[in-house]
Amino acid sequence: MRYLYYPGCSLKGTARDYEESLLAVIPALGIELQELGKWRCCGASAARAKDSKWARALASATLAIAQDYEMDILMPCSSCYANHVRVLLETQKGEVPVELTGLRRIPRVKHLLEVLAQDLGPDEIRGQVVRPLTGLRVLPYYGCLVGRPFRLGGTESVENPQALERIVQATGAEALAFPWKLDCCGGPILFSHERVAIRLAGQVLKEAVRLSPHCLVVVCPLCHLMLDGKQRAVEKEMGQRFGLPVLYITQLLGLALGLDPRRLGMHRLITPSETLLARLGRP
Amino acid sequence: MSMGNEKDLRSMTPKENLPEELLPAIQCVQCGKCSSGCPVAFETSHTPRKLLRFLQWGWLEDASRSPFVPLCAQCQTCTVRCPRGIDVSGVVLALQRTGRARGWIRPDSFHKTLEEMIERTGRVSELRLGLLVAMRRLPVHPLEDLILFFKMLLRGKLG
Repeated sequence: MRYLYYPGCSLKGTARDYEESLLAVIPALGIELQELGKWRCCGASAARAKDSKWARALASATLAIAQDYEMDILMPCSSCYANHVRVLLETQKGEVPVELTGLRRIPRVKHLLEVLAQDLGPDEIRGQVVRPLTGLRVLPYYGCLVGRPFRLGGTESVENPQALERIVQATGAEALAFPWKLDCCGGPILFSHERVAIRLAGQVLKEAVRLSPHCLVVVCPLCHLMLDGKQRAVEKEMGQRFGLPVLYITQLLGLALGLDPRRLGMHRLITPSETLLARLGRP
Repeated sequence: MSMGNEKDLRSMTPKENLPEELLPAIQCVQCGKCSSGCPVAFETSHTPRKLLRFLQWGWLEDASRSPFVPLCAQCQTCTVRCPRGIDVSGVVLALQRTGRARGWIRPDSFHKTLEEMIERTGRVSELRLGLLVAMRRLPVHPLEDLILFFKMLLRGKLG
């Protein structure tokens, strides 16, 4: 299995731990990655709000560069993923942007979660687990864009996807049913309406701790920033202490594969994860 | 432009008023499913349903200037739930584009900074973006943000 790896801006910045754990875990699972060197920003939340043509041009630029590699593109960020899938779907409907006209082959775009849950599959992952995370109570949190508006992998439900649960279970951990798993973390409006954004993240964290989990697991850098990075601000706003570690799915997988927590960027988490690692006997 | 009853609804010709990308809004049956599931609707008196109503009446400018438009987090919940298949989040974005093109609304400082950065370099530097935005506007939690800034710096998360 080979994929073209599109990191996106966050994985080179605030989500450095996501990239570290991804680059450690994905090859360990037998998947070959080749980083796309000349990738461009997907347009984030800005491009589509300004000009549709610009948004299409940004996503198309990356797709056009990627056509030479004859591989599907793997994207770890939900926002990058959704922005690119949108352009691909528009193209299929016949609205081909100039950047993509005349391309020999238009590459497919897959979210990391899709690659793990569908292309690789939980059984394959289970077979490679050397340190099962037995007894660990994990809350899977999807956020918005990985499963909405486009069905993950074309098949998952938009209201109750199960891909993340299957991966969590494959590590030996318990995947708790979390009714707020698709609620918005507030990330996109953090800088324009900070209080509202903090309240949205607070809602998720408040409902999360009621289920007494050992950690939350996410698949998006922005969800992680809101729930891990801003957790202290959220605690202040909500007047409630959470202290809930928030891990990327790749970090959870890495722990189950027996990889060194430092290689997984666990030391970069803002909300301390020492108790979690101690529980797993991995201080 | 006012939003009272003085408007003569019979004279409204929505289809001529609306740009093509906003025409699907006319299909709305006002069931309110979009608004009941909206995570930010509690913040303003305008819900997605109301915006669609404005569009059905041809009130393009009112819809575009609505406080809901910049508040929408693009979570896509309304879009996947609409029984009429309207891409409601897409309508909100289209209202933003139309409003900006016609000079009714302006992007906030964050989006302006973000746009300039993408246009200039093709990528986003989160460190620069965060600092530029913080310089233009005092954050709501200055102490927590300062602590977060140093924590991220120490953990190598800021480039």
